[in-house]
Amino acid sequence: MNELQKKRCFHHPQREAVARCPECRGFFCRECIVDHESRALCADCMARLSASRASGRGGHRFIPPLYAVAGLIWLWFVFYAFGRILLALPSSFHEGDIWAQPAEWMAP
Amino acid sequence: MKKSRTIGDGDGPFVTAESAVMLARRAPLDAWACYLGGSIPFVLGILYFWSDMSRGAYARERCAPAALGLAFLFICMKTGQSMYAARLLDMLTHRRRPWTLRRLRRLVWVQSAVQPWGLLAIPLSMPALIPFVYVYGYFQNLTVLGDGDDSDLKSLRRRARQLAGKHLFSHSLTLWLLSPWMLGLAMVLSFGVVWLMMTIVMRHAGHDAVVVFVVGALFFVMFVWPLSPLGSVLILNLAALFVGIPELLRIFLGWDTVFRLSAGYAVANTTFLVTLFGVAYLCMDPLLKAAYVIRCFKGESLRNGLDLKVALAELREAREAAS
Repeated sequence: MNELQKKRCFHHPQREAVARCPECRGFFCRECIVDHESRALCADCMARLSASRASGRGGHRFIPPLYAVAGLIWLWFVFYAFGRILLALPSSFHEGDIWAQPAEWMAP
Repeated sequence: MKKSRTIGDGDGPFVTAESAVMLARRAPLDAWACYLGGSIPFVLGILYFWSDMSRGAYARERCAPAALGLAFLFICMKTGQSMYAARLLDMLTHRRRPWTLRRLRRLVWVQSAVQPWGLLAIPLSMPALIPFVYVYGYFQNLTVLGDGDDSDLKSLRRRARQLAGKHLFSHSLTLWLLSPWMLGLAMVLSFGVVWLMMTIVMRHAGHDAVVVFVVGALFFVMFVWPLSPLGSVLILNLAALFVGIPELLRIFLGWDTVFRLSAGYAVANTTFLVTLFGVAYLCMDPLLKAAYVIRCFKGESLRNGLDLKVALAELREAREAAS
């Protein structure tokens, strides 16, 4: 904190620094810093990050649909397995007959 | 000195639950249409699937196509729930984000990409309570945050993870109060435990109805009620309603239905229990979604000051109205 108090803004030497950019490690005043996803970034780093993300998005255009298809296949498997379990259960379980008589292994 | 309370401290679970009820009550018709339009088909689909798989003669052949249909209905449900949550968030922030085709497409992609994995992660995390709260909150936050505004899955996941970890104690209690999953867990546990204990009781005390009823009630209070207090009361009310309706039909209209003729055995039928759970889910889940909308709004406000902007906008509107 003491170190920050002594520092001046990289762009405005007459102003006190209020934050340090975690990307470029430079000190900046309130006007030069931007809050981005819980991180205080300087305007240059923010612009660089946005540009790289925008270029990266073009290349990953098909990823969300691929994930979605994978999710759908997983759901199909889950419900199919669930259906097989229901099929494997005895009808006395589904009809509630098990409440009316003691289980076979309990019978004397 | 007593620490002053701010929004960031996190409201208690009862305050959150009360605010969620208020928010859901104020929700406009289009929000409810989104929620019910997505969720009712899935609940009906599950009921059909359950009854078909439990007693259908050709169920084995129909299992795969029916499971695929359920998978699509699940995606529809999550889409509807996310749209409902987005509308509630709009109410809190006094804005109206339009539903464009692009936003809707992004919402469907995001929800179908993340929500199916909740069916693996949530049951796996259930035996250990704290990860369950965290994992459950993570998927609920994704329902709220993945409303099509941001299609970057990585950033959505990070935000959902961060919000799930906030105010864990209050979060756990909110979940205990409102989660249908806790009710489901209570029902599954009680089914196993009560069946085992009733079998032992019946063996020693015979089929004495009073003893069976007392033991059943005792185990309900011991195992089901503490796991989901609100859900248990709801289930009891719904059960009384479902059992009472055939009797009322007979008394007032003279209609004898198969439910009345089968007497108590219809209650023990698993389809009856699943129907109860399905209706209870439709009653509890909108409140839970509203609670997560409030949690996300407050959590995100700590980062971007949205609550302050909303308060300032409200002040500005009030001043303009007064002048």
